[in-house]
Amino acid sequence: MKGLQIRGLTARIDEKIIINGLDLTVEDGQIHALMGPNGHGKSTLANILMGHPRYTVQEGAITLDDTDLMTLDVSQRARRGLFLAFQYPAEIPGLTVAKFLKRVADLRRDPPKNAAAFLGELKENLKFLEIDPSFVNRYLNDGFSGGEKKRMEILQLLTIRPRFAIFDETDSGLDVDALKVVSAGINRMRGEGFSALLITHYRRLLDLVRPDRVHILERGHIVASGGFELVELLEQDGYDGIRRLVGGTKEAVYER
Amino acid sequence: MSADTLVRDIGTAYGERFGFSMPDRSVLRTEKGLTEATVREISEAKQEPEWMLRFRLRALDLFNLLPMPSWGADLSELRFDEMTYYAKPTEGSSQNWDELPEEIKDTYERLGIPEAERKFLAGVGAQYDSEMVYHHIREDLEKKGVLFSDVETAVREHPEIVKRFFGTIIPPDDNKFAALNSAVWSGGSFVYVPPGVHVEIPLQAYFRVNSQSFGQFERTLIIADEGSFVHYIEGCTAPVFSKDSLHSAVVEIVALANARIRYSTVQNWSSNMYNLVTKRAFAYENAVMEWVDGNIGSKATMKYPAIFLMGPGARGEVLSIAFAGKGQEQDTGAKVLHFASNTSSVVTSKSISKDGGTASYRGLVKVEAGLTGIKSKVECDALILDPHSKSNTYPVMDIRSENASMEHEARVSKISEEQLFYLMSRGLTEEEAAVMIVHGFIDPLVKELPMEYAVELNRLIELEMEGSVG
Amino acid sequence: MTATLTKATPQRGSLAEAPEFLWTFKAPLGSNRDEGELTHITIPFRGDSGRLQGGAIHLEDHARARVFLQYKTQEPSPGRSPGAMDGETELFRTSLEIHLGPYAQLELFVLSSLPATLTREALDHCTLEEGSRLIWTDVGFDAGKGTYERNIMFTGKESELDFAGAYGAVCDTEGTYILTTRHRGPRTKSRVYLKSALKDSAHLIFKGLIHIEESAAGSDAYLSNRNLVLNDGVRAESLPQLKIETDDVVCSHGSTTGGPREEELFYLTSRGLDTDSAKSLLVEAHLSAVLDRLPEESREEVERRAFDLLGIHEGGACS
Repeated sequence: MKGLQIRGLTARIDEKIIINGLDLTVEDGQIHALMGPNGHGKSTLANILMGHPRYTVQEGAITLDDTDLMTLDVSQRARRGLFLAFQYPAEIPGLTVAKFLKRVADLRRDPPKNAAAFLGELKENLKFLEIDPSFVNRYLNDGFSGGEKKRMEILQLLTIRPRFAIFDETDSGLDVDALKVVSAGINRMRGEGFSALLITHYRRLLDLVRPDRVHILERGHIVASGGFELVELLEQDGYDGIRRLVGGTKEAVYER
Repeated sequence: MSADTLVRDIGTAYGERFGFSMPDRSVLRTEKGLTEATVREISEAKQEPEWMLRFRLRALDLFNLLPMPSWGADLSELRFDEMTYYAKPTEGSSQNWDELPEEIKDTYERLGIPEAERKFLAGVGAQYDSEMVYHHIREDLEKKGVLFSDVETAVREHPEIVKRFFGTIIPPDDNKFAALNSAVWSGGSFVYVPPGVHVEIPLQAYFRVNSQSFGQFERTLIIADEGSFVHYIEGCTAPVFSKDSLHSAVVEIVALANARIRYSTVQNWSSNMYNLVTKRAFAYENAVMEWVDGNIGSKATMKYPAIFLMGPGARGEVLSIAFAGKGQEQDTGAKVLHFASNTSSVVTSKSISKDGGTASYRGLVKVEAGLTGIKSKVECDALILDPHSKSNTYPVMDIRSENASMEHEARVSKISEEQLFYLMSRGLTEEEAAVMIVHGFIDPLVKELPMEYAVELNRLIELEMEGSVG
Repeated sequence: MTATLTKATPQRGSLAEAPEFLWTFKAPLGSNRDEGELTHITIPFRGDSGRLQGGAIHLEDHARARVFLQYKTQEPSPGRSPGAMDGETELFRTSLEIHLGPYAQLELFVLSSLPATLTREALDHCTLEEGSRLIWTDVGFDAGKGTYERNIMFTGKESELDFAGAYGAVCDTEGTYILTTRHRGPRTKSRVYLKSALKDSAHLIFKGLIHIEESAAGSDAYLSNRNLVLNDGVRAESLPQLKIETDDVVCSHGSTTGGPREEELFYLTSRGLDTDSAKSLLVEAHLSAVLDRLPEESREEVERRAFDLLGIHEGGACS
């Protein structure tokens, strides 16, 4: 099946179980939203999908286009088309943005033919994302504001063109203009051959990047799935509203 | 970090790239070991004036008296009596590249000098077994009155300038190896820039050691007169030997009022070489002195570029990078002494230890009493790439003035897991990610080098980090 | 359990020279004194110039204790033994051995403010076993010459040190403070903060060595030394050192030395304070971070004496 499939995932960090029997499927071409209270596993799930070494998967399966991701290390997953837009991107002083982007563009299935082609794409992406061209000479994320870091993640998204992208609270801390630009970037990727999971707390991003489906993650698993009306319910009544709807049991799944 | 980082002995890859030895065509060689006769022989071969011979002999006495340093890299295997101290390869000095002996040209061709000369250089003084066999000064420099020659020529043709400064910045009694160099020095560059002259293109010299158990004792003297500017680059490579070799150089630099000097080095001696160098600059009123020091090779290096800030408004900067691989000890750092008010200094040191190598930073910042407006900042960063490698930091700060602000910071760590994870999440393998991070780590220094050096340095680091498998 | 000043059988500690152990404080297995209970131990100089006096603090597994150590001259004589002549200094040598068993925790306060007639030599050794924790607040205002060497060895995994020192030197005080943390067990942690203020022609040397051995993977060590110089003619030397023998560590150190900062002086004087008062206030602020750790009952007195000593006065107070 084309897309991302997670079945019965249980994972821990040291002795603490964070993800507990999680199922999630995102078909090709779709964008799903993942919401839920803090500390219940949203960021953890993102990191586990990417293969962060600190987490141990106890049970379950993760596949992308039917390829088992569990046997692959981080870089292999990336080369299979997985991408994570980090909530707190690491800083690599001394490594310029330009050099870095060229490197990762060359890892694409359809890399730029030559330096000129790469520069052409880069210029276009910079323009589209309203990023000042002088940015490319700065060191990767070094001294960047929160907003600049998030834009840099989207610039990488457009440079790498992954199959499946996870956005870990990419919208947090962004002003109205930055949010518009980031959303435009995500929407630009939308279509066949691309699917995504937007992790967020707020409605704003989801108004601009309309999700095909919404999931609520609590206590390490999905407690509710449905359409956009879940976002509206959440906005009105908070997570309590969702809990009331779902009845607070593990099995209950709200469908419409 | 996993132990999967590929490890290659510098010897293998090095041997492939630079590890070749030319048949020995030395015309004059002194006996092994160091005696008064050796020193007299050297002075006579150079046809030196009496004062220089006396200088050498006095230095020889000091060498015999002074003790070996009780700290620093391990020098226990140095054998002074088993080395040759002088070998002169050809008669006379060549002005033109084409007139050089074929095999010497070949050596330099393989090391990529001709292209560099064409594009970047004003003049090349290349050293082959102790003598400057080739130097070439461009017409416009000559017109400006810039002097750039080997030191022997300067001793003969410009004794007033030489006498004024030679041995005054680093006197023979400074340390045992300065004494050794003072006794048997041979070759090295002499640069004098007249007042107000700016030398825009970097001056370079290459060094080459091509004899078993051979010591290299070049001595460089650079004087920038008031308001002038010059950038000098020193870089060296050497073939692989089976016996130990010693490189004990002395570099004396004077930046007179309002002058600026930058001295860049990328050292890549083969893994059997002991590299013990004394480098010191005097910066006078409003002068600026910059040392850019890259240490990649050698078995053991002890080198602490020093700046004495002698006049108000003087500024000193040291950018140092050391890479200690298998069997290597890089003991490097910087010394800054503030003798005048309103002086400032910045020292940035970066080191990488790998495969059991040891990188040590040794530094001194001293501020005399009664000074005002002093600012000094030292930053040392060290990366240790595996559990068997080591890193040491031994700074000394000695402050005797109230109106001085001194800051020092040092950090030692391995490559951060988060950085690795981030880069790997973009498709780079762990090794590729590590190489990228290390390149980033040294970039602030690489940026300060002229391009072909930057390229060579980056390639050298890659060679160290990756296998030689293409 | 009280601290007993007993003449114990001289034990060979980790010192080449065996001190005479004059006192031992022992906290048995699992003991945990009532919250806030502080044991006071006074170490007097009794006129035995040059004799090495030893003391020991032993905490067994899971024991917790709070100890306040004070070095003093013996009352009422101001530290002079009957035979000493005017102008002569006497040598006050001490050694302190601290041993923390697994998961023990010691909160230690050390205070010393001795006259210039005493020359100090202190050699302290601490061993921290698995999971143990040493929180040490060190306050030194000795007027004479002194060398204070402290070695802390982290033998057991996950042991921790939190050391904060406040030192003041005036007139012609000469103090050398050597602190070595040796990380042997994995995942051990040390935080060392050394703060000083120097006046007149005082001379202080701070040598802080962080030594991480190959077996100490996962360790985290930090040392900072901040010296506030109050006039020309003092000498502040800082030698923070790192000796790292394995890669999986996080180690750093920082050192700053300088006079009161221009912006800070400007701010205070712009609020009406004269320069000397402003400087004095800055000295207080500088050392407060450490002095605030002292137990309530002694803090005020120590602060008063310290700031009195270091304050900028008219005429100066050095004889």
